[in-house]
Amino acid sequence: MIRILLFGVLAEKAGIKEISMTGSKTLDVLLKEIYSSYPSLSKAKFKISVNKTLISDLTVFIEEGSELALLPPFSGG
Amino acid sequence: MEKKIKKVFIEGPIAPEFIADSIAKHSVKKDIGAHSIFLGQVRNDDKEGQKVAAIEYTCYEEMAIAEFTKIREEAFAKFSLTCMHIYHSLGLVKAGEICLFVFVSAPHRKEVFDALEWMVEQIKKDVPVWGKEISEQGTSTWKENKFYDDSSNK
Repeated sequence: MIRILLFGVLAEKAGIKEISMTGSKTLDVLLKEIYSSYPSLSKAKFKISVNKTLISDLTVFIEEGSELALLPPFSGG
Repeated sequence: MEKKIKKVFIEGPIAPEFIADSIAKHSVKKDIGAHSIFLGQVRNDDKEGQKVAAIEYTCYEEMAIAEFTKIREEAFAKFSLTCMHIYHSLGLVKAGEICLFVFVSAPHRKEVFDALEWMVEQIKKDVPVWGKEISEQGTSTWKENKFYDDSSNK
C-alpha cells in the first residue's frame, strides 16, 4: 500500500486527508490516478514529498510502503 | 551546544510569560553576551473586505520536526551560537497573539543578528506548516508565504 497524505487547502479541496493506493508505480502515473479520483486537485499548486523528502522528478518509482504527501505552499511563521 | 531534538510545537498562542521565562532561564549561561528574538504575530489582514480574526495552524509533523532539526543543525554550523530555541504554534491563534518565537544566543551581537534572520527565512521557506486565516465573519482563506518556489512540480 502507498499512503498519500493531503494537507491544508488540498485536504479541503479533495474532502479527504489520506488516500491509499496499491501497487508500485512511477510518480506521474500515481498523480494521474489521484487526479482522476479527485479532479479538484488537478489544478492545485503543491510540492510532493516521498518519505518526508521533497521530490521533483516525476519519473521516480514509488515503492509499496511509501508515504507520500502533497504539500501546498507553506505558510508557517 | 544544544543539538538534540527538541519540542517545537505549542498548542495555541505562545504566551508572553513563556517568552519571559525562557529569557530568565538563560541567566545561568554566563558566557552569553547577546540574545536576539523574533516574534511572529498574527496580523489582522484585510481579505476582500473582511478582517482576519485568527489563523488556524496545521502541519505535517514528522517532516516539520525533521526540517526544524535541519535548520538548527545548519545554524549551529554556520554561526557561532551558544544556544537556540524555536517554538511554533499549532491550532488557533488570534490576531495580535504570538505564533512564532525564535531565540538565539551567542557571546557577541553580530552572530545573533545574522543567525536570527537566516533561521526565520528558512522556517518560512522549508517547514511544512499551513495557516488558514479565519475572518470575523467566519470565512476562511489559506495563507501563502511569499517566496514559494513552484518550479519543481507542475
